[in-house]
Amino acid sequence: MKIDVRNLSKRFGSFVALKNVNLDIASGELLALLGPSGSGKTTLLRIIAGLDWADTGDVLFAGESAARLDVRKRHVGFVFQHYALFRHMTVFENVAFGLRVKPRRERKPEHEIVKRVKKLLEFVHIEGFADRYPDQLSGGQRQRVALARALAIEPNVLLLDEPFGALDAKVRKSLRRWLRDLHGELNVTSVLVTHDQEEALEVADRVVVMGNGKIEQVGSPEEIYNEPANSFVFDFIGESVKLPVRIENGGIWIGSRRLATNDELPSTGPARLFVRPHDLTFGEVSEAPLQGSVRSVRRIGALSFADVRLDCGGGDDFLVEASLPPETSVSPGDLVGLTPRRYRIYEDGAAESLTSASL
Amino acid sequence: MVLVDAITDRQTGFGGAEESSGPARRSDFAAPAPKGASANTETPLIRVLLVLVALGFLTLFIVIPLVAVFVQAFSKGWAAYFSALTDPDAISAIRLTIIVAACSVAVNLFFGIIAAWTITKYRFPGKTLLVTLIDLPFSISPVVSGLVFVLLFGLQGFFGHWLQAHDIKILFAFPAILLATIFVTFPFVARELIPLMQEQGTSEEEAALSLGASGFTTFLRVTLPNIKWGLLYGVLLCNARAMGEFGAVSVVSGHIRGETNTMPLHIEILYNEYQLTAAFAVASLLALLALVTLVLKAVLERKLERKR
Repeated sequence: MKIDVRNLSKRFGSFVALKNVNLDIASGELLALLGPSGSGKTTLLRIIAGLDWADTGDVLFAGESAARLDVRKRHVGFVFQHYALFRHMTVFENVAFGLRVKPRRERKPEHEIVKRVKKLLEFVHIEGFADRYPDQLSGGQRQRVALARALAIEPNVLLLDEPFGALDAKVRKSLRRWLRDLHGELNVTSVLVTHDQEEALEVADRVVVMGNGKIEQVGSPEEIYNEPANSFVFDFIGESVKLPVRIENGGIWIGSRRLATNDELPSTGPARLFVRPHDLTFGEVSEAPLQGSVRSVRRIGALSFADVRLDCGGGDDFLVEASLPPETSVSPGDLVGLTPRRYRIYEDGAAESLTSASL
Repeated sequence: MVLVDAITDRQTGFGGAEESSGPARRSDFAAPAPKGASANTETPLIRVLLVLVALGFLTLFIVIPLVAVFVQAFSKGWAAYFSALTDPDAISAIRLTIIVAACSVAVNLFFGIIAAWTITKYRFPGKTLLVTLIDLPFSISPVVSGLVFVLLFGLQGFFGHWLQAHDIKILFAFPAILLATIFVTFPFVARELIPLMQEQGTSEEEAALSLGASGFTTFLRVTLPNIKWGLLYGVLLCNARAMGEFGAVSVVSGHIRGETNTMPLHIEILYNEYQLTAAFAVASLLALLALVTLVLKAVLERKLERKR
C-alpha cells in the first residue's frame, strides 16, 4: 500500500520532534528511516502506525486520510524494539492473538487459525518453539516471533522500530539479511527505523536520513553514501574527516598549501572540507596538499587505519584517521602526505556544498 | 583553541548494542544482593545476642498477645466460645463486616485499577499530585478520616439538611461505614499496581491494539494477566484492613447493636461490658484472619518475586 506523509509536525512540550515532514512511501518498497536519536524517526513511525498523533498534517493510506483511524483500524504490523511479546502467552498464542481478537464475523474457525499460525511459524523458522514462552527464547527468536505476530493479520504495511537494536552484532547481521529476503518474498510495504547506517544502507530500497525533526535526504543507499545532499548527511553517513579550509584567490587553501584552483567559487572565507577516510591517499610529502606525522597504526579485522596528525597551519593540529591501502606500510613517527581524492567543501554554517571534486 | 579535534566520527554499527538481551536479563533484576557480603565482623557472642533481642522483642509484642487472644477466647471452654460467636449481635457484626469488606474491596479494585492505569499509561498535568493524594489515607489518622464524613453528612454538615429533607440516611448507617472503609483502604490496590505497571510499560498494550484488539480485550487478555498476582496481593491487604478497621468506622457507625456494629466495634463493646471471653472469641476470628492473610501474603509474594 502506498503511504503519503503530508506536512507532519509534532512537538512534545517544548521539544520539536517533527517539523513539517513530507514523504511518499511507494507500495511494496522497503524504506529505512535513519537518523541519530532525537531526530524524530521513531515519532514519525508511530504517527504512521496511529500510536501517536501529529499536531498538524496528515497521513494518507492509499490516498485516503488515516487521521481519523486509530491504530486498531489501520491494519499495520508493528514490530517493537523490545519485541513486546505477550509474556504470559506461548509463542503460538502470541502469533494467534491478532486472529483471535477479530470480531466474530471476520474471525476464522479455530482449525484455520491453527493452520495459519503453524504456517507463519514455519515461515520465520521457529516452528519447534510453539509451546515455549517468550522468556524461554533468545533475542533473535523473540524478534522472529514478533514479526510472525505482526504478519499474522496480513498488514497493509509493516512498521519496524529498531527491530534489531537490542541484539548482538552477529545475530543482527543474519536477521538483517533474512529480513531483506523476507521482504523480497512478501513485497509488503515496509518502513524500518534505525540509527544503524550499515543496517539502513544494506537492507533498504530507499533511505530517509533524518536530523532534528526534518528530512535531510531521501535516496537510494548509493545516492546517500556517494552524493550526500548536505553536510549533515555527509557527517552522519559513513566515516568523515572535517578540516578547516579557506577559499581565497580562486582556490581552496589548507594552511599555506593549495588543494585546488576553482574560479567559480562564489565566496571568500573560511569553509570546511569533508572527505571520507578511504578517499585520503597516501603520497609524497612534498606534493600532497596535506601533510602530517603518523601517530599510530591500528588493524581492525581486515582493515588498517593510521592516525595522522596534520598540520593545517595557524598552529592548529588535527588528528585524522586515514585508511591504509593494503600494500602501504607506515609506522608511527613517519612523515606522510595525504591527498583527498574525493571531497566536498561546505561554507561554514551552511548545509549545501559549495563544490565537490573527484581527482 | 582546540588542539586536537577528534574529527573522525565513528558512527558505524558498533553503537546500538547497548543491551544484550537474553533470557538471563530479566533475572538480573531479581537477583538478591550478595548474601553475607556486608562485613560480618561481629563476634559470635554479639550475633547471638542480637538475634535473641530480635526474637525476644517479637515474642513479647506479637507472639504472646496472639496466643493470649486464643487462650482467653477458649478459657471457658468450647461451648462458651461458640455461644459468643452465635450470639445474634455477634452474627450481625460478622455479617456487616463481611459485606462492608466485600463491597469496599470491589470498589477499591475497580478504582484502584483505573487510578493505576491512568497514572502509569498516560501523561497528564497533576499526576504527581494524584499519586500523593492516593497515599493520603495512609498518612492521615483514621479518626480524622471518619470525622470528614461526619462533617459532610452529619446534621451540621454540608449535605446534612438536604439529606434529612430527602430522608436519606448515611451517617450512623451502612453507607457511612462503607464510605469510611473505602476511604481508609483505598491505597492498597493502587499502591501495589502502580510500580508493577510502571515496570511493564505500555508496549504490550500497544502491540495488542495494533493487532486489532479493542481496549477492553487488551485489558482483559494482556494487562490483567500481567498484573494478576500484584492485584491479588493488593486485594488481600485491602480486605484485611477493611475487616479490621476500627477508628474511622467507630466515628461514623453510631454503635447501634445488631445494626451498625462491625466486628472490631462489637469486640470493644463486649470488652467494655466485661464480657472478656466473648470479646476474645470474636477477636480470635480477626486474629485468625490475620494469620490466614499472612500465609496467603507469603505465597503471593513468592509468586510476584518469580514473575519479576
